Amino acid sequence: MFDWAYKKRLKDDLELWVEKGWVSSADAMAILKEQDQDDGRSRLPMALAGIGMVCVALALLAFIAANWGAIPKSVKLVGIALLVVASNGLAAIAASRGRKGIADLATGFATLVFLGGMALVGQIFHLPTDWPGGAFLVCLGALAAAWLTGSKTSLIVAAGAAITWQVMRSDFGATPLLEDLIGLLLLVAIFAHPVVHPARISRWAAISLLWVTYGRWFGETADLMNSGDDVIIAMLLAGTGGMAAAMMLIDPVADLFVKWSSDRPMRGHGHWLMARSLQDVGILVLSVLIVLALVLVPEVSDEPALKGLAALPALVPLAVALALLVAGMLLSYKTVKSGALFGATGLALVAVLMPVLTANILVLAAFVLAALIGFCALGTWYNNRFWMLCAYLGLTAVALWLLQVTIGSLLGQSLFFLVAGVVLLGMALWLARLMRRGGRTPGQPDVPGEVQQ
Amino acid sequence: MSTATASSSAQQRPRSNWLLWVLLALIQLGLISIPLVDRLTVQHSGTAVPLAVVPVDPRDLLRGDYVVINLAIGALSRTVPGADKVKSGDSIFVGLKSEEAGAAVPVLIAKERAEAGDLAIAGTVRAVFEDEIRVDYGIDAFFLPEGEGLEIESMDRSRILLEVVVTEDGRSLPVNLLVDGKAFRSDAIF
Repeated sequence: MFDWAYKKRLKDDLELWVEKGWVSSADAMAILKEQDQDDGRSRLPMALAGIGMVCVALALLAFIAANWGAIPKSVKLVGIALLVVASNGLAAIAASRGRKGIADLATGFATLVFLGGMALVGQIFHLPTDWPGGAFLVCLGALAAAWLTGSKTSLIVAAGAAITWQVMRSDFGATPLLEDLIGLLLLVAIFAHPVVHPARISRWAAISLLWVTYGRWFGETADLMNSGDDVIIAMLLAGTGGMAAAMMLIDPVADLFVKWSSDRPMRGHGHWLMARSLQDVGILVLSVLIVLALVLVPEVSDEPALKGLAALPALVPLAVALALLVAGMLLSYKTVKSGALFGATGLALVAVLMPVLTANILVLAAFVLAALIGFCALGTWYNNRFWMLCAYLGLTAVALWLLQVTIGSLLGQSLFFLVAGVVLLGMALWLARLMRRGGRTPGQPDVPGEVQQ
Repeated sequence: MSTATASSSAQQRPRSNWLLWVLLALIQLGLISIPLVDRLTVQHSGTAVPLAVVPVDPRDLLRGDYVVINLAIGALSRTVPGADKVKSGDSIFVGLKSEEAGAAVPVLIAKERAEAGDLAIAGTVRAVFEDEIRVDYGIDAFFLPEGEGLEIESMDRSRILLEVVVTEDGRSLPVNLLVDGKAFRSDAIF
């Protein structure tokens, strides 16, 4: 999906490598030519099959909508059962012939048939309109398909159904402990799947469910607290900020822990990809929150109340993020690159929480700018364009907002940007000297044991 | 030895793959049958009660033609005994009294089934207003063959009743759409 970004990056890198003499101009030409010729036609059959599967499923749904009256109910019921069995049989045939992609698509189709069968039974027998109940049963059926057969398409159906169930189940205030526990179990079952069977879209679906599950917990607690906006805003900043920071930190802390301990557990690429996706979502959410902390929070709430931080949906993610931050800082004292990640994330968390700590717009603006500049630097250091995109978009929004509203007087604003500019220029100069003296970038030694000079 | 083992496991793999999908089909069929079995028990153990409705004719993407059922007892007057003790989100039982002809009427509201009388339907309070309480009974649609929804929509609503089966514990399901006291559309389970 992001081939264009890879190709763009490759062209930039080749330019640099040719300049440094690592790759000859002819080699670079050959690589670029190979890239241009790879037009992705090998993926066409699967793409068409995917669209075809959705069309057939739509045809089935239209058939359901036709609500034919002439066929006896018992015949309809047998028809549904046969359809479910036949579509699963199709998937089994594809799997037994070693066609993994087709088997996945066919299992996904079988799951859609199961979903349609559930709707059809509801229609034929006038079952009460119980969306959450239906979504729950669909989620269980799709999860069974996802785990028994490794189907990624079914996992997406399961995640969609679980999200529907979380959003539509009993009203806030009903304190449904059992439902909350079931929600957690569904989250674990769905979240673990893309780790074992990696696929980008199922990772996104699982992370979306994670946020929806957290949102449900947040909503239930906020409803029970029945507090004012000041408390809820503080709770929101700490809770979502803590969640996003924890997403950023969990992988580097685990990495450092493994590097420091004698035991080195096996880690599949599914873990690695999930960790990267979590970090991407974490930095995206933190960048948005940092901007909102400056632009929106002062408009909505005069001074978010510290009391909001004591609520569990705020306290737990915040405590986890802080614990990861402290652990990461301690473990990375010999690893500058990881240390930078922990520093930038910590600064971002402070910037998000700043409206709770002070109403002084100057201090708030300074922290917000510093946090976003930290993310820009982090994205550059880690060579991660998505991080850079998030950070630069946030920085642009904040800079435009600061120009628009003016901090204090125009002279004050001028002084603010001057100080920020001078500090950054000073840092750039210091870094350049440091790197020239060391003859390498500060990020090169990234394993414990390689002490920074 | 190891080659033989490998070859036998390769032979077994397709069969175990088949078993996985057989198991999956059984699980999915089992899940589909859960609401069906629930419907069967309600229909066989419940009592039929005619209720007044306010129908309109929409069309649903997944479910074809159906008549939206606005049950008249969906809006209960605050003068019904027990109405002053409920709040939004409460699960309640509405005691019903069957009339000789026409729709059953609500006679009391209780939070416990035992206090709601012989015939009571379970519902959830959706909103409490100054003069009435809005209750959701989970009965909001009656499916019809394509085109019949429009016919119902054009009828005088006083001619239409929905016959609902109510079990001892308050669960309910629609079974017949009555027009002038006669079944316009019967939907017993089999």
